[in-house]
Amino acid sequence: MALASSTRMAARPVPAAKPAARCVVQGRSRVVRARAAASSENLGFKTMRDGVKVAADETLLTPRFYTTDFDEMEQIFSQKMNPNLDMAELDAMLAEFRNDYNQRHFVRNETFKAAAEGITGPTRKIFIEFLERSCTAEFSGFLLYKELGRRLKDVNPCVAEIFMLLSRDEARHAGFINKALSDFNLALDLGFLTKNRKYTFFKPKFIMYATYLSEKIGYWRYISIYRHLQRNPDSQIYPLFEYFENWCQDENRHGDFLGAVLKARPELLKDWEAKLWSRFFCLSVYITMYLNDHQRADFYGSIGLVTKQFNQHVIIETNKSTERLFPAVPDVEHPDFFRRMDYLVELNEKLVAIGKSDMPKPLQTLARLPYIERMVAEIFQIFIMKPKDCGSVDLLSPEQQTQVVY
Amino acid sequence: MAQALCTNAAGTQCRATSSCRRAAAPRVAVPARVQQQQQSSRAAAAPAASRVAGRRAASVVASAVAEQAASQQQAPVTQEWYALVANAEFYCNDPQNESLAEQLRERVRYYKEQNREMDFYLVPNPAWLDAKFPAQGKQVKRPCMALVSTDKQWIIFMKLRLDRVLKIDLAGMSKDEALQAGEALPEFKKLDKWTAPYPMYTPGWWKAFYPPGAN
Repeated sequence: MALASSTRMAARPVPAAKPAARCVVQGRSRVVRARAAASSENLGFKTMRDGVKVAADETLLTPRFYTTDFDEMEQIFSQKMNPNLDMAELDAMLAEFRNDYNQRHFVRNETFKAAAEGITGPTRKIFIEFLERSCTAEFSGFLLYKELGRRLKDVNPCVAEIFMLLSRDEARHAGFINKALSDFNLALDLGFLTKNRKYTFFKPKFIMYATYLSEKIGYWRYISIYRHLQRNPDSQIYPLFEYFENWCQDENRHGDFLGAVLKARPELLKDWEAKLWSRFFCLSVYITMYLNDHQRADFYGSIGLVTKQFNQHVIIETNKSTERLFPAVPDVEHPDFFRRMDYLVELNEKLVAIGKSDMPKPLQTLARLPYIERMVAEIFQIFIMKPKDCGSVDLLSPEQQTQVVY
Repeated sequence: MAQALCTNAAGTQCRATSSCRRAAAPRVAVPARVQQQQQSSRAAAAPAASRVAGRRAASVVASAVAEQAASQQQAPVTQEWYALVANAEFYCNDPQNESLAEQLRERVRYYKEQNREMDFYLVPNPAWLDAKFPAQGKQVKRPCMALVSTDKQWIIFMKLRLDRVLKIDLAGMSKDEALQAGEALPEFKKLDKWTAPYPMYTPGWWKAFYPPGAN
């Protein structure tokens, strides 16, 4: 087919729209098939079988699957080994999760399919990518929490049950997004992903910082989209977003629970090392999102958001949430902070452009080096900016607490 | 705006049908089922927890936890009130805390679904602060507001969420005393710095959560 058309093109130059026109001439049944295929194949997505999408390649910036040292986790939460483990907040969290506010929330309605069919062209492609990333991120949470729930059952039934309830929420979220993907005639094989995706290992305490942040930033992303669309219903091009308000309350509560976990082990929130890791994880999460989302500005544009404004707001508010827990956070409201972040976006765009060029691979690697070097230097500069000292008022001494003005 | 938001909550209820269970992956079916049992009656939580605990080696610890949970689940004979106090700007005029509006709406919706009586309110300038807790009162900027509830667990959770609030146990106080509001809140100044890609919730949303009969 490709050969045939190129021969013809050599004989007589044809305008770009010609291949589509050719389908029409070839009869009605052919057109229908061509359109059905256009919904997935022509967007450049690979399918592993009919309607099941091959997961996107993993890069430094894609959502990851995490694993950890489960034996150490058991030790951390063992009430036998840690009789002083403060359970008050954890018990309160358990009661909150048992309420299951969203038990009846994730029910689809008939508007999904039609709305998905109305999303066409390049917007369709970026929509599918957005759904895939979100589904992978939610599912990643499900896997990790489920395993933690299973492993901690004997040493700490309360914490174990909470992890199970967290995985309940994440499974609902991932399943709901995967159904949305099927509106676009694609879905992810989550069972296949579970077995075949690479798992990133993090030590338990790092899992706690990282999941706290990803839940809180998840809340701020979802709620900012929701509130924007609530006030601008014309940009509401797909009903999934209407579910975000209740949905992201789950994320926010998950974050609170991981906060309670960290507070139950206050040594993770106190010394200079904790401060260093706090800043490190904040920056990793903020920079990853900033670079990722700026590469997908068209997606946010399609729902009427300006990526820069949306991202900066999400980072500022996530940082404010985090200030209530972490002993140090980056000073994101310092004018240099977003100036440097924007420079990282520029450098990253150069890297992406090199990747897309027709330069041979080894030359691409060489061409990337100077930009990578500048990015590393810039990230280091952001890291050494003066941080903000902060933390929960609960971790202050009683005298300090009486001096706090509320 | 407050009205529009209420409609929204009702819309959520309309969508509710039993088919939601299918949305969850099969592997979470077990905790989900346990969850539903606990949902149907708050008291059912205790037997469910202890039944699970019975299977465990560390059953002593587990059933201690279960008993504790049971005692916390049962409504106390005399209602104790608990409060989280902070300056009113913190509750009403801070983009970080707009989630409180969502949370309280969610909880009102949930209470309706469960036929549970309201046990949480926002009390503007609570009368008891200076009258009964002068020392703590000095720590609080005015005007101020208190989130009060008889649900001790929930107040612990909300303290964890809000962090920068003063937790006060209103021991021995009657409902009327605990809910007695002082002066009405003034209009808040529009914030100079606004980074969000959306406007703020319409001021006054909090009045929907005032005790019945308050301003």
